[in-house]
Amino acid sequence: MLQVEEVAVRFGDKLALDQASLEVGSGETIALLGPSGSGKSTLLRAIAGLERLEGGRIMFEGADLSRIPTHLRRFGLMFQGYALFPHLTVAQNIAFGLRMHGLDESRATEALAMVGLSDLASRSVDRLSGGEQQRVALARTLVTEPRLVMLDEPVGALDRQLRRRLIAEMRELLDGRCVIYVTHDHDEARSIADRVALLHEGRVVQTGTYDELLAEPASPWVSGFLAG
Amino acid sequence: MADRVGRSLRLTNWWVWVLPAAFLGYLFLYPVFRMLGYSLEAGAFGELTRPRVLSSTWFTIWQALVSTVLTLVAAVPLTWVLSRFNFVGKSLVRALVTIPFVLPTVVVGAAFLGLMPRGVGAILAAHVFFNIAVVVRTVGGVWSRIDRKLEDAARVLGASPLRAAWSVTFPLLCPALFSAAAIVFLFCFASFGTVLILGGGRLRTIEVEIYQQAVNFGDLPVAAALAVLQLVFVVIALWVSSRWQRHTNIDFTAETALPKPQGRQGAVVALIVSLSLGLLSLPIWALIRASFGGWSFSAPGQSLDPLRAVGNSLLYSCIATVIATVIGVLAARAIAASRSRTSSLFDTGLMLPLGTSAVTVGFGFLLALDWPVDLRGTSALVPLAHALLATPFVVRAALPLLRSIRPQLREAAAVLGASPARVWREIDFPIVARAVMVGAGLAAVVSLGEFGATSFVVRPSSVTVPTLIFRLLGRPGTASYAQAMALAVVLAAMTAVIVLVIDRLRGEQAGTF
Repeated sequence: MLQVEEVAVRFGDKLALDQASLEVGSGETIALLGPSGSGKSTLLRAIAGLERLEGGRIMFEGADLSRIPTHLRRFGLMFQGYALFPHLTVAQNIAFGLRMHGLDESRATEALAMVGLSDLASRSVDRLSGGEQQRVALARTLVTEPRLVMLDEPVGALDRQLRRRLIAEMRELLDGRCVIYVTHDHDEARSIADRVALLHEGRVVQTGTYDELLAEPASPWVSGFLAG
Repeated sequence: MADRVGRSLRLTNWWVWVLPAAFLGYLFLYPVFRMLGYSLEAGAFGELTRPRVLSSTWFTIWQALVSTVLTLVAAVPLTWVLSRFNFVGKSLVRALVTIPFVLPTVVVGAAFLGLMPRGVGAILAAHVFFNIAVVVRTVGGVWSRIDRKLEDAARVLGASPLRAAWSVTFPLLCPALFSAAAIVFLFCFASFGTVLILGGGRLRTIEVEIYQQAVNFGDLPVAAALAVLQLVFVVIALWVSSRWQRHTNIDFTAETALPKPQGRQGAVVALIVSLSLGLLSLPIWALIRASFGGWSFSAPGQSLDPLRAVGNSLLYSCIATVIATVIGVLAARAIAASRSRTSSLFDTGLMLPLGTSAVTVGFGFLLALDWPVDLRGTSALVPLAHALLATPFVVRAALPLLRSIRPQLREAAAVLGASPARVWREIDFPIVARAVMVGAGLAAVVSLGEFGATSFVVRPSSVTVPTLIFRLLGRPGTASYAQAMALAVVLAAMTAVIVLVIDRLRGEQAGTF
């Protein structure tokens, strides 16, 4: 479905992505795991069309994406920190993508119910708790039925108990979709993803199920990283 | 591999520069260069040592210094009260203190004319009246955020109340005091309308000298040389004040709950507030009293028709506001989108017309705007000059909000399917709309009260309220005088209405993004 082929992205004189390659199959959830600064978020931004590629290409369903601007890619990206629009209400935030694509806005109501926030529809987003914000961001990302769902540390800012509950909820919501899930938490990656891609200094150093990675680490760095 | 997306994102950034840059270049930089060339060609800089010019320069400097010191002395007690205590009616007092600052200079000039005879005293008093708000706002903003515990700590360590204030609070306030002083100095240095009216032709700032050389004596080269000199002075003053301002940006504590004044403090606070308000309202009462008998809007001459002037002022104010809003928003967008050196230079460039002096702008128009088409014979110059002077207010109002929008919000909108134009419409615009309206309101106020530039480019058919007030004040007879005062009251009222609306808009503005 999605093929990232030797993609390079440069920030000043540093390569944030250096020949990074990744493949995601239809209906598959893949976790991007790696230490901070390894290029996880940059890879998502590159796939979304928010970064200029210095090299390589990104293909989706066999088509090259390099000439398609962000707003026409129909991908979903849930930002770290959520990026909820402060001037819109909860319902308006969720309906935003539907409005942009000319889709039926009543689906926002269903999405609100899906994440259990029907009572908060007309509330301003800066008066939500962290967990509520997370759900609004998730609903906003999923409601347009994007062809690819990308989640950048979706529960990173929350406390442990809430995290566990939301991960269980999300597993249900993400089932059957094509998902890239960024995290630096090993347990999270293990519990939510079919496969794990390990990122180190801008490169995907190994891909496989978590157990495969554990059993056959491709390098001493991988075994060291997985050992925590 | 080529990536069109990245490139098109940058494209949207450069086209917003074009219009504001052309606006600033044609209406400000080009006239300034023409003035410089003109005065160099005529060898007019040598003429600046004439005794008359030297005495104007000397008067400009010393009256600005004395005005600044007097303003600080008058404003500090009120600033202390407003930033250290909470009392009933405080927000009303704060609003009343701001009014003089937004009054058109011609109105202030007329008001003091109703209070005291022309002369140095009247000029200094008018400058103090006008600028108290600057000190209250800039110094008060810092003062209210200095932690009270610092003074308490000094007291515990054995300092008397005065000693604690002197050794702890005063040093922390110094940058703000200097910064406010620099701004007040600049305003008084570039004072034109007030001095022209209250100086009676004998007391001249450089601004007034430029006007008299150009309009009364027709000595354009000397006027141009003086305008260049004024520009140099102003740039230096702006530079110095911006350096001080940077020091004020230290973050103190958040504004904490202020105590009510207790015991003897209460009496002191009441005394300071009532004395300040009493003195500040005196000129306004004098103006209203002097306007009695001037409320018949008969026109002594075609170019002196008050109703026509009011119509002109409203029309020009609308046009200038629209131009300033469009240019200002584009400019703010361009500046906010980039953090490069060019963008901060552009920012300063747009501020220059405001700081330079309106007279320089008006005179520059008169000298230079005969190319590519001769605009000087048209009344278009009036709204153009107003727009140039008003644009900085729109930029100042919109820029902080545009800068505060996290790039992530725009990216999130793009991912959700919004095209670049749609991102602007759905994200940026709703967030800055209110601020832009505040900026537009300020632009309208600037245009309504503008006198310096207008006095150069105005034609009999395009007389505005401020220029008409000035003309009427120059005519003999009590009828003209009363009519001028009545018009000044009308102008003050129009300004006050807009300011009240702005204040409401500002008050409702909640949260940062």
